[in-house]
Amino acid sequence: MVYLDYSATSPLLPEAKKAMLAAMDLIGNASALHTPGHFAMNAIEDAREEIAKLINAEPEEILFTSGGSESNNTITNIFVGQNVAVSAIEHPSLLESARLRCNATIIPVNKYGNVETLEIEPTFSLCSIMLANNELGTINDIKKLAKAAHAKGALFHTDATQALGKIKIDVKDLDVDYMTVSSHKIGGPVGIGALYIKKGSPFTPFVIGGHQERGRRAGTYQTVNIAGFGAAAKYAREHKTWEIYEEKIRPLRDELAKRILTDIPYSSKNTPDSNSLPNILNVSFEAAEGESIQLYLDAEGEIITSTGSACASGDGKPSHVIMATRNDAEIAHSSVRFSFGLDSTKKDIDHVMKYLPGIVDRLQKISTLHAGKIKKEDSYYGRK
Amino acid sequence: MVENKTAANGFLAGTPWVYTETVKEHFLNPRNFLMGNENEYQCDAKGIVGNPICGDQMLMMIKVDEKSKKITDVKWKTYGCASAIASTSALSELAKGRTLDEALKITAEEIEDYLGGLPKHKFHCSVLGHEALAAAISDYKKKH
Repeated sequence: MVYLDYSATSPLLPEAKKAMLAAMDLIGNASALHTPGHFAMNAIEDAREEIAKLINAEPEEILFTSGGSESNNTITNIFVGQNVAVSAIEHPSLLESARLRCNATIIPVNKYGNVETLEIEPTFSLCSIMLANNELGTINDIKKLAKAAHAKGALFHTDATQALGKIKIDVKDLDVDYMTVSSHKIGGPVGIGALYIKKGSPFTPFVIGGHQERGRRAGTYQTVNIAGFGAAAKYAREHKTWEIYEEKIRPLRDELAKRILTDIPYSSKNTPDSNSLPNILNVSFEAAEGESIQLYLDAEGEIITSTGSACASGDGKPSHVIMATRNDAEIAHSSVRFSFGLDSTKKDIDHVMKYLPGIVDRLQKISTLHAGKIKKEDSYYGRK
Repeated sequence: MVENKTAANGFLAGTPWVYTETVKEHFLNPRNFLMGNENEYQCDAKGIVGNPICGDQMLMMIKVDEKSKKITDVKWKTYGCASAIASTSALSELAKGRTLDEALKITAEEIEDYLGGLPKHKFHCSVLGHEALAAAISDYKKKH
């Protein structure tokens, strides 16, 4: 199997598994004052310290949640009824909850997925822009955007779920007030994430009815998952995984992009060449439907990918991210995301290129659509 | 390369795919589809339904024996997902040899039964081929 869906979820690191197995033997409720409870709480605080170190935060600024979606929901819950500005390509957990709870203004992005300028009124309480987008890999200049938000008196949140471990993150340097991170994108378990809350920032608990996390989130501590997350964070920091991604994975990703654009007619890149994560490549194949490409890759080549096609999303709508960047439903329905992990190799790319051209060719030939509508002069879209 | 430990651990046993084996078989080896230019296929009638903006479109072309009103050949093209491909492949097999009126009576449920079931949220994908066939039959009736 060639697994190229690391951005959806990454295999559990052996280090994380080991820490989780050890934590499974901790029997005490971490909130309890007895000895077993203390042992469990020690494991939790060790993990908290690891998450903090990874992003250059203080341990008390780290709140454990059930994952990225809860962290994002926690943010919009702090700003209920207030003016918030969120980018058009945020994760649905941020975008939809902001629309539901807040007076949300959508900040448009350019064709690469970047917020170019931030123009907000002083009446805005919060601005939320992703550090890196999950579908395209596009990286936004958060330091600049946070500064612009602060200049208008708004607080700043960034969703760093995809960026964590892939690029170096320093919350003090970025100067953000809140940051969302998740465990399973860096080789930790699913079901655990965190929210960085800069000391002194406004906060309202999202899950209420318990004193855990210093009254900031109710619910019995998930000692096992937290220990796994901590171990994955430690692994990322000690191995400087962002350097490995940069040196080993980015060239692989770029090679796959080049070979696709060269060898497959009517292919085009949704991921920008620069300012993108080293491990995500999103490509569209005109006239070939994305879910079909994804399933043929799986069935014929055991190649595991994702798609922005409506048929795969479950809600019947094409990717809101590609609609925001390229505003073309056919391109969105015809998109495939390849996301690499630390284990990815040149062999994986060769394997993809053994199957992908034939699959796309067949789907284009049986298609009711005719490829060729993308303008040739728009070289960014790389049409052959 | 990643070793597929999941299969080895038995988690996938019996359900290796979200679709049934019959769906997979029709998806991997679709029947009666047309490769390339549809204008080169001499059909008696055709119907096109769906909208690429919504992510799927289907073209159905039929040849009909004028005397018996039986469908003698079916060809189709699609911009669609795995369910659309597999269900239209199945439909094209079911329709061949039937009279136009019999073919119109083929239901979405019959296609689903033929394929051994489809995931619930994929049901609308299977209707597409069905609607395209009805449009082709209607086209034929208008012409004759």
